[in-house]
Amino acid sequence: MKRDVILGAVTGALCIVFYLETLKVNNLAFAKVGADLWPQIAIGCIFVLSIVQVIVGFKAPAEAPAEAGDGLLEKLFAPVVVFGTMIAFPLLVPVLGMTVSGAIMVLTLLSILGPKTPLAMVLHVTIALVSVFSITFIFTRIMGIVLPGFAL
Amino acid sequence: MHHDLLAALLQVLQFDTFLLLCAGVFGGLLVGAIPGFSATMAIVIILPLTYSLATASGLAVMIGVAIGGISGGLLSAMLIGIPGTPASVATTFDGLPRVRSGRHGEALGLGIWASCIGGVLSGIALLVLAPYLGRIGLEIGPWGYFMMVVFALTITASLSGEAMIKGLMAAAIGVLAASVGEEQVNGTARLTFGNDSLLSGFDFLPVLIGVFAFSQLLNDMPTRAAARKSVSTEATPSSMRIPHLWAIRELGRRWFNVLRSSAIGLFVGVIPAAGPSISNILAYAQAKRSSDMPEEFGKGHSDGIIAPEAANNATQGGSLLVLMALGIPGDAVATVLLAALVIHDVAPGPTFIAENSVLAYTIFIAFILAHVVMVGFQLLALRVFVHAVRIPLYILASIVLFCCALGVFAVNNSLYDVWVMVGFGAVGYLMSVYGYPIAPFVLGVVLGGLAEVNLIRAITVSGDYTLFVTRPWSLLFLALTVLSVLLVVLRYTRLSRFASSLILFVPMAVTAWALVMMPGLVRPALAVIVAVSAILLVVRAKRGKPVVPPEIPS
Repeated sequence: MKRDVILGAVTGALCIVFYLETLKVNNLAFAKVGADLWPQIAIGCIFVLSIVQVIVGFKAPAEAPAEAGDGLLEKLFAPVVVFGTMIAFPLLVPVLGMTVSGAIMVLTLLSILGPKTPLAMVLHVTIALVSVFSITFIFTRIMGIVLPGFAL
Repeated sequence: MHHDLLAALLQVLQFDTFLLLCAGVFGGLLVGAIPGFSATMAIVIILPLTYSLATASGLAVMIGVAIGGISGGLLSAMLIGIPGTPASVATTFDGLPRVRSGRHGEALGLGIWASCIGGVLSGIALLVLAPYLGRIGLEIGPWGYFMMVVFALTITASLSGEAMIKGLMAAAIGVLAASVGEEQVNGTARLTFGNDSLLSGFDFLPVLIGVFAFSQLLNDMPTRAAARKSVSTEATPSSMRIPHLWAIRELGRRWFNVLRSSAIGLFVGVIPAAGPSISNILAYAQAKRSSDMPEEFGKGHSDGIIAPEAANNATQGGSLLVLMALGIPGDAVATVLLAALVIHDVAPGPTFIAENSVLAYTIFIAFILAHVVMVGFQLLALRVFVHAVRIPLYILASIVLFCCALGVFAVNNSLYDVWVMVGFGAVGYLMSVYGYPIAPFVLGVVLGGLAEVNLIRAITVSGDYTLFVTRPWSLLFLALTVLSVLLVVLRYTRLSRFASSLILFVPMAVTAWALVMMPGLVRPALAVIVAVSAILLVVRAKRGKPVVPPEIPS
């Protein structure tokens, strides 16, 4: 099936989920306009547009077949690495603190995305430590922001 | 006014504030010069560093960053042929050929001084027009404000061209995201799905940083091989001299082009969503059309460098004018700038200039001075730029992501904001992959709350819904909303030119009617112009001339 049709259908389905959630809003008795009205207007607009997208998607000419195999894996590599590392970062902060977690995050990104020669690895460690420590220094010492655990 | 202006000037010229302004310009120039790191990105990266500064100093930095970010684009546009920001796309057309012909200094000199003069002229317009526009803003009322937000969202979406449906969806999704958490008027919880963390909603800075930073960085390095590359080329020079006096004399000889391009930039900046990425191309096209030697364009013509650079900086003045006077951000840079203003306890709007005139003028004067300072710092930025563009993208991206995470954490000292940034980063990335424009989404997030508050205010003041179509400002924005959508829809339909012109005639006539209802002389006079244009449109269409303008490349 065409990509825009699927996207439109998924968006429409999500609209139903969000609409059902708006029904749980407890409006105050004195409020002239309910708190559910505004999100319902937005959801209504999205729902109508998603139907239009499905109809237009059906009428549109066929798309080129999606890339598969190595091409797709290569395209997914950078996003998966970036998001994986960025999800791990806030999970690590309560345990290791902002500075150490930050250094691990930057080093991980550099090591996975960059070349893996011994010289590059040394360079990555240096870049990670210098950049994270200097940025953290600016935030904590110059701007006076308190960072969780092991702050400089 | 003169006292306030003087007080503002003295405030900006205080040693520490001026130093911070210079630092902001320099930082903006560096970030804006690196291809892929736009002016928006420059503000996003540098904003957290201003949290602890006083209001005037913090705002001076942010204005400096915005101006530096826009101006920095010309370095990469000319020296490596890749526009550092979308605002410098047209600069590559003649800037790069001039550089390749060995005249690096001349090309940069023209670009830098055109940027400076365009920016200063729009800054003067900002000083003169902002109080006037602020007074008009008081007439608009909640009905008009609500419709103005709707217009800003639809015109942003309509500029997505063929992807208008996706643009409108993105805007509505942004509005929906802004409504999560406690409602602004009564504090009722909504759309939290039982999760108490969501009660506070989404602070729009983590949303902005997530959406912009992730989508941009991941688009810049789609594969591992691309991530390991740097953006420098063999043509990137290591040093050069800029003939400033020659450049000023050349601009003096081409003063009409400078003025016209600045006016185009200012006008485009005032229109919501039509930012410098459009004005630089429009100004270039106009300069080429009115040149005696159009065939020389694309080969390093001076006018081809002056026009886009004067226009893109002037656009920032127009955009800031609407932001400060009406509280409506016109483009992505203004949206992030609004976030910066809010963080420094500045809430722009119609009453802001009247009630905080010194602070407002401080911002305007900082805007003008930033352009002057920018000239001095371009040479310094150039020296750093030639080294910075040799750094592989994955190194820059890794450091920027840490900066973003730390900056977002520092907003409320909360890891929740980091999660919001990552979540919306995923949303932004998926949107860019599936062809949903990001600008309408971001405007939806920023303006959603404003629209809701004004809708509630309007309904609370009067239960009469017809006020949305009988109040002049509300009717005007409604007509403009319909017009912006029709212009795109008609481009992709097979209707005859005459039928299209008749369809367009209706909202244009309504626009004229709304303007007629407004007080004073200027606006009714504008109404006559709009009405005559509507009639001429139909007459031209009957003679077989096109009625819908071609799509503007963005």
